[in-house]
Amino acid sequence: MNARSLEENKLRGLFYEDFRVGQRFDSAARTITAEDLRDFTRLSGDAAAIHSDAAHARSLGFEGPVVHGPLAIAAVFGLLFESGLVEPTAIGMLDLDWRFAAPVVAGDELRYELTVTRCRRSRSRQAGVVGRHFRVLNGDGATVQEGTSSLLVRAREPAGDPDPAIRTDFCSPAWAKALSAELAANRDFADATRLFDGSIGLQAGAELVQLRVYRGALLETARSTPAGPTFTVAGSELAWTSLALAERNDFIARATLGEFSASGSAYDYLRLTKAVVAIWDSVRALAAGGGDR
Amino acid sequence: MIRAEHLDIDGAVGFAELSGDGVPLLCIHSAGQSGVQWRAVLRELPAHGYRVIVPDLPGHGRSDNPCSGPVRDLGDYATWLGELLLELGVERPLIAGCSIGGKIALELAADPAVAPRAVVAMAADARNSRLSVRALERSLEDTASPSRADRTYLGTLACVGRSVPAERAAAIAAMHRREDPVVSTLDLIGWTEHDLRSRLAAIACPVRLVAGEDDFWIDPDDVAWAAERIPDCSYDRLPGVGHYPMEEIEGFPELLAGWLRDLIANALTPARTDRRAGR
Repeated sequence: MNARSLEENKLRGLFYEDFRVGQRFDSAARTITAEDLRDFTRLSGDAAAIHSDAAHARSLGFEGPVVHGPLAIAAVFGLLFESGLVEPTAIGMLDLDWRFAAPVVAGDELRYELTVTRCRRSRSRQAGVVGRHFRVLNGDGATVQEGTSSLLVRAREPAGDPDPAIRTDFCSPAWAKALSAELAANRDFADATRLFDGSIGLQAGAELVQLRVYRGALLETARSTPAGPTFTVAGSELAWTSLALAERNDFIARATLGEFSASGSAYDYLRLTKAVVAIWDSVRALAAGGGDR
Repeated sequence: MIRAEHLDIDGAVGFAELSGDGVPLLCIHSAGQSGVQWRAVLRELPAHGYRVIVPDLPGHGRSDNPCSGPVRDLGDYATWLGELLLELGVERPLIAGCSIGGKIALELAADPAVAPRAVVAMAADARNSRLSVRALERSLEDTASPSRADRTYLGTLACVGRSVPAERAAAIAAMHRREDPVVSTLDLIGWTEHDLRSRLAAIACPVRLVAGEDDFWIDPDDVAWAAERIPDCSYDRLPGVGHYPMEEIEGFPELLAGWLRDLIANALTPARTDRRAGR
């Protein structure tokens, strides 16, 4: 990409209010050169043979010296800066959870696909936290790295009440409260839980909430219940975002393919399949109402 | 006119519906289901010059289980179908099948005693890696497989393609809910365990592999892998379609008639025959 088109593609820094769960931002590509690798080796002090000795790297089955994982991460955030998405509104990166799926070697071209997976107002300042999922791809389109990172970003306005973004703040207490209003009108959920006395755990990334259910009625939503969840349905924030906003409720297909997993009582999870699908109908209805903020 | 046959196959009743005169076309249904999946083909393909034969596999629909009990080996279904063809005096049929029916069609295609003219295998691969035999075996026990009806209904809805109107999808899912859970589960075990990889090269007839883009039971790469190894094979991906093209697609009989026309034309082209002989 030449300088001019890069300039045209630059966004002005986005404020908290500009982010929506499900938004995608794809980066330009950047080649990691042998010089980049040498510079990073010097800068980091990590001169391990796999990064610096071509013959050694090849003896281990790699095409050439392997790029330091953190160099690729650094390149991702360089591309993010280049995109203009975060400057000058970003306040700080809050966390990083990263997985190295395949090696990157010098000469590889990298780009990322960023999906916004969470938006939550800060309680203490005029700002909000934006959860982001990064998929890092090489020139062949294969995923080489994948991870999440949240960003504290300035807000244009002070917090309003309630923040419409809670409709996609999956498995947070405020979200669960909004969900319970949807579930109260969900006949399939009531019918399918008519003979159930327990708690259904829902987990999106690290966020976990329980629905305490008795004879078809949702008694309470809470982070913890006295007996704990009967079973828990868990998925990454990206999995929650994808299904909540997908064209149709294909939870069963996604669960079969491993995007969601269940823990706790496998029997009750299977028994309540219809109830879980009904919960997803309500999750999706709630998320669909979230676009009007 | 649609005619029913009650055949004696190994001492048990084998049920099949037949319609039309002409080139025989054997249609094989999917796991746990019955010939009802091919109803539209049974009605409409005779007008294209085919004699359509739609059996219910043993233990399905109106066919008895074999005397030895429900089947868990797709090879047994293939043998049973060979006997059914013999009983009906059918030689060198065309074969269309879906899911386990597609895999059984490929199995029959690799059998020189059956030597079909051509095969359309939908939602079929040489080896499926998406199901766990251990989990399936566990779910043979009714106490370990709760809400089976809901799960079959919702699971079917989830693997029907997105282009299918909601009402039609619901009708398909309701029909699938009529299954016998033991027979269905054994079918899926058979599907998972049956490995055709080493036999693909022995398939001597033209084959069309078909997979729906919304079919999560099938890995498209696995089907492509099989397509590369069958000597005379084409491979179609159908957008908006899931695991059951013959039930999902409005106008499927016309589509199938077109595929069969192409396959027969290919089978009769001398150039194609030479090319195959040269391999």
